[in-house]
Amino acid sequence: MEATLPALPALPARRREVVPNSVLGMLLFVGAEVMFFAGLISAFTITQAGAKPGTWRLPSEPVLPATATAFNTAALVASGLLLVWANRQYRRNPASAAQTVLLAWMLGAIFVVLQGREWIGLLSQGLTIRSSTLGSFFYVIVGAHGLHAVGALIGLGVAWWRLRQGTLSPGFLLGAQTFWYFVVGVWPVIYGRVYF
Amino acid sequence: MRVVVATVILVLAPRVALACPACALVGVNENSTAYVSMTIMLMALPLGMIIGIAIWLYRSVRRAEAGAQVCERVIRSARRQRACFGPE
Repeated sequence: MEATLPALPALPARRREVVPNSVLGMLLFVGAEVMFFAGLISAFTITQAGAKPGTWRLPSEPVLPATATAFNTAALVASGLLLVWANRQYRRNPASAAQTVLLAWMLGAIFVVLQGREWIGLLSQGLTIRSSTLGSFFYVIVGAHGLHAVGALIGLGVAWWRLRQGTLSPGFLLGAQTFWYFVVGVWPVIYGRVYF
Repeated sequence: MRVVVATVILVLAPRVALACPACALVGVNENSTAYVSMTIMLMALPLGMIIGIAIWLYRSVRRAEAGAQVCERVIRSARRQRACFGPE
């Protein structure tokens, strides 16, 4: 007598989350922010190209400290790379990523603090938002980036805190990371265009 | 007569057709280069982002589907074994 296999019930169709909602939402937000910065850079480039001689930057104003800012840029890029490393660690063992996330956060904070210090120096030397066209663009573009950096640092800080508490969801970390990568990625473009 | 009409048209024809109302300073070479390059950037950037996200989503879905198929095969094989030999 042949043994017959019982009919297997069909596997229930489940909805799988291929991409976390937080990442998808953050990508849409970042897309809008990229266009915001592209608009600013575009306005900067066209105004600079069309400026009459002597009107772009007043002779009495300081030259933007490109060399000193290179260090800040290096700190920010290093922070982004550390976060990539933290993501790999998180996949293997979530608890082991906490220190790397904290280090990335600290480098990001160093960038924001040094940028603030640079602003104080430039303001004291006479470059203000009203002093020249360069001053207006500089404070608007770099200030907008600084605000984004502070927002991303808050998100990353919350991620680190939740990671320590063991309550961090992978979606939240990925969302915070996406925003931080945007902050890191857009800065070299701003640096290259505005400071030189 | 034709020669006169052609001459009048040529004389009255605009020498420069300024299609861009914003390009007030067209003619300054650096400025027109800035306009062209920034127009290209602002056109290419959203398209590039949309295409990039679409490719990334497509690859993520493909990867997830491949993973799900492996899982399904493992589950079916486990069910068959249970049907043949009974629960352990």
